[in-house]
Amino acid sequence: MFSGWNWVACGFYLVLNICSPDASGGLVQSCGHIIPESPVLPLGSNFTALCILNESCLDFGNIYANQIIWKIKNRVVPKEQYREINRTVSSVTFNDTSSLGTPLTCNILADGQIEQNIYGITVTVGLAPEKPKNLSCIVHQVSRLTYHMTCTWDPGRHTFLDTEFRLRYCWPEDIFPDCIPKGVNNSCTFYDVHFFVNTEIWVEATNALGKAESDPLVLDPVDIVKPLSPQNLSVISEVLPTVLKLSWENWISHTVIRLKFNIRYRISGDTNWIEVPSEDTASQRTSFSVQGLRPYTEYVFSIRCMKQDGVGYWSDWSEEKSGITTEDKPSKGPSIWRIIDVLQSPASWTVHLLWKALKPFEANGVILQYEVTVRDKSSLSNPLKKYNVTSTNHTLQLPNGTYEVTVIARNSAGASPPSVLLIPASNSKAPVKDLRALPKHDKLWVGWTAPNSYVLKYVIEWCMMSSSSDCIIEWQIAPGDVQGIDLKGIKPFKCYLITVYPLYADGQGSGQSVKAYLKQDRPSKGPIVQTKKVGKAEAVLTWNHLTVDEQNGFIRNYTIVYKTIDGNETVVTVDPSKTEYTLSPLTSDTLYTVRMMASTDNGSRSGPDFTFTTQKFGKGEIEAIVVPVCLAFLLIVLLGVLFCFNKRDL
Amino acid sequence: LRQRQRGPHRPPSPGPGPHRDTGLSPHTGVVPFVALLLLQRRPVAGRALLVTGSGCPGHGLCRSNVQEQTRRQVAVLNATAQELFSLYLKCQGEPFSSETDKLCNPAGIFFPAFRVNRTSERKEVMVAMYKLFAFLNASLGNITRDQEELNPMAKELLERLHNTTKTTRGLISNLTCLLCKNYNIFQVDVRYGDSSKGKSAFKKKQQGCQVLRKYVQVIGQAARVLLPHLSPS
Repeated sequence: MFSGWNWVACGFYLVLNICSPDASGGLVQSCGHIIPESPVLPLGSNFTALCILNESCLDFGNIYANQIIWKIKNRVVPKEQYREINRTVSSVTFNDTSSLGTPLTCNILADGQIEQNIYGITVTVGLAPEKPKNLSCIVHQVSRLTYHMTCTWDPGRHTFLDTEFRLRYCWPEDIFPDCIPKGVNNSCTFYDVHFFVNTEIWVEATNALGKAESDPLVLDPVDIVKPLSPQNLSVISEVLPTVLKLSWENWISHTVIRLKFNIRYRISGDTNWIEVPSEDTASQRTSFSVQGLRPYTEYVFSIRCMKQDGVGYWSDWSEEKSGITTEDKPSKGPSIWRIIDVLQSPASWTVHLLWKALKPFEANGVILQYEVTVRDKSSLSNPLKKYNVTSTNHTLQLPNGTYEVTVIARNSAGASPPSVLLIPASNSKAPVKDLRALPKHDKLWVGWTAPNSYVLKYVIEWCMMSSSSDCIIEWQIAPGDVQGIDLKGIKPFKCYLITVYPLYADGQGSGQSVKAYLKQDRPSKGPIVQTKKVGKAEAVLTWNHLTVDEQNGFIRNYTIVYKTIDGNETVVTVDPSKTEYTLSPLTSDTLYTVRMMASTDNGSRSGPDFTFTTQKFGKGEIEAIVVPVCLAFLLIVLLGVLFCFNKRDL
Repeated sequence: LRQRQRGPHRPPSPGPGPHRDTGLSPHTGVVPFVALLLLQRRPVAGRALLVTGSGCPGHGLCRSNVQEQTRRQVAVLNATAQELFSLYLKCQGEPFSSETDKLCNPAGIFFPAFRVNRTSERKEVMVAMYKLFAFLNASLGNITRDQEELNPMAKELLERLHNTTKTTRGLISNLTCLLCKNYNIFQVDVRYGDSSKGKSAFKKKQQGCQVLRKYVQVIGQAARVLLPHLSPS
């Protein structure tokens, strides 16, 4: 109410008055008051305050209402807003409280033109609460027997005042204690929830400027329950390999709420959930058998529940639980192929039988062994040979002939259907035509034209060629009605040898092969050229082909570049199949520098430079000069001797 | 009466005691103004009643689903009664666990008669139910108060007593609604049993045991009688 300076002044004047009661210019303490005291005003409204001087104040002389100065936060209010009601009362009016600050003080200019504070009030400006909207409630099941009801609402505009919100609820004849939010103004939780009684819930907002109530919600709390998710979910393997049985515990009594469920499952490692049709789980239960699953597969399950009539909220999904279906016999036999090694003896083969391990959804369990039978079709008297193998290959020594090989995969539930491969004595049937291999994004596409006869299936072999390691064959089966296949796992810049065999019901066609690259690059090295023979005007160059590891692509040509020290370069293109080339005509007795470049579709690489000097004389030239000279010299010597002998005889 | 009637703010239950309550609410001894108005509408014996229900307190909350709600409440009480009694016995310890028949014989206490069957008039059944559950509500209050003193650590028992009391309280509200709305009955004489206040610990335990044992018997009977009267038509 009084500023610090005013306390000192008032204290001083008090002392003065006590000590000298007749002194003029006396106290203004308790000289008046303002009404209303500490008002709370609606924002934007108008407001008038009155400063009322006490009669006793007037005895101090020359203190009248027209001397009153109104201030807001020590800023003088313009006099136009004042009105002198009478000798002792002054009013001040504000047309818009939006700009009204605090405190509002009533001051007076006393004798000596000293401004004295008479009274002060705090003014609070704000808004009445808006009607709370969008009231909604949910009952959370917290434990088996405990439920909490949380309601939320939109509190409306900021009021700039302390506004109290109360959540109220009642029955037809009972009112329950209000819920008063703590720390927030838009939510509150009741910890004592009653089911099966129609309950009215509403929000009251109250501040110094008024009160507002939301529209009431009328509901039975049992209709807004979010139950706890089913607990202790367990997954049990059944006898049938396509069924898993789930069982769980409901933590909400069926006498309180009858439940319906959603069950979802996925294959372990997969992210996509599959849901059991909701109509199958639309009733109160504690177990369910999920059917139509894959054998020997791990599934992950999760379950949620809500009130059976669909009124309320779904619980959260339960903790996930896994289970594995039991094994079933394999659904198909493995794909079989063979690699025949005839190098040692044409009459005796080393036959490497190969088969593919079944995919999990075909194996339906752990494959314990493969049963291989080999029947000699060229001689029915030969007994059937049987082998039990745990790997995916088997090597046999067989005499040249026609054989029928059968492979069965067996797991603990049973055996697969047999897979059959006919190995004829010779591949005399028609081969495929127009075999080609083209890169297709990150795969190598192999295509062919089918032979005229009916083909059961095709076997595609491929291997990566390398000068430093064996060409290890990989293979794949394609159905008889396709004429192309993509090969995966092909590395760039590597040469692959691809062979396609058509398999018929009664034989096999010969293999057609093609080489291919998924992606080519320039060679990693250039050819090393050297001279095989150098003459006066020619030189024979020789080089070795690049190894397949160095090529990085199909070599399209070689380029020879040669020149003298001060001469121009000469470029010659050579067929990639060649390993020799003769340079001519060359200048004799001249130093030449030569290098070779190998080129693929994706670039070239040069080898090291090689220098050689052509000969001064051609072949036989020296003999052609020396022999006649020697003969001429001999002739001259003979003639000389003969002359001398003739001269002596005379 | 205002369109949206909140009802008077009522003080908490004054606690059980052997007193008669002439109003439908067991919570106060003062007949509310509304009930005074309703008293003026007491039907003349033998004259057909115009049952509108609009003069009943909180009639806006007294909806057509009240019958189904009442049925569910009785079903819940019936389903949980035996468990409550068994847990009560376990928590009282000896000799109550082993001499249940001797100590918990309800012959020694007052319990409202429930002399209705499936063929009784629906109104009679509702009134009998009201008397039963008003009594039970008060008795459960006694038992809960005693167990909070005698077995404060028996959290599950106290929780079950609390839940049963809550359901009973809700049932009374629904029965009040049904009686007033359907039969214009706003006054039912209710008699309560003896209070256990001031009795020894053993007597308190025994009285609770006797009441709960009788409750188990009667609630089953009430469920059998009530369900045909309150099944969805």
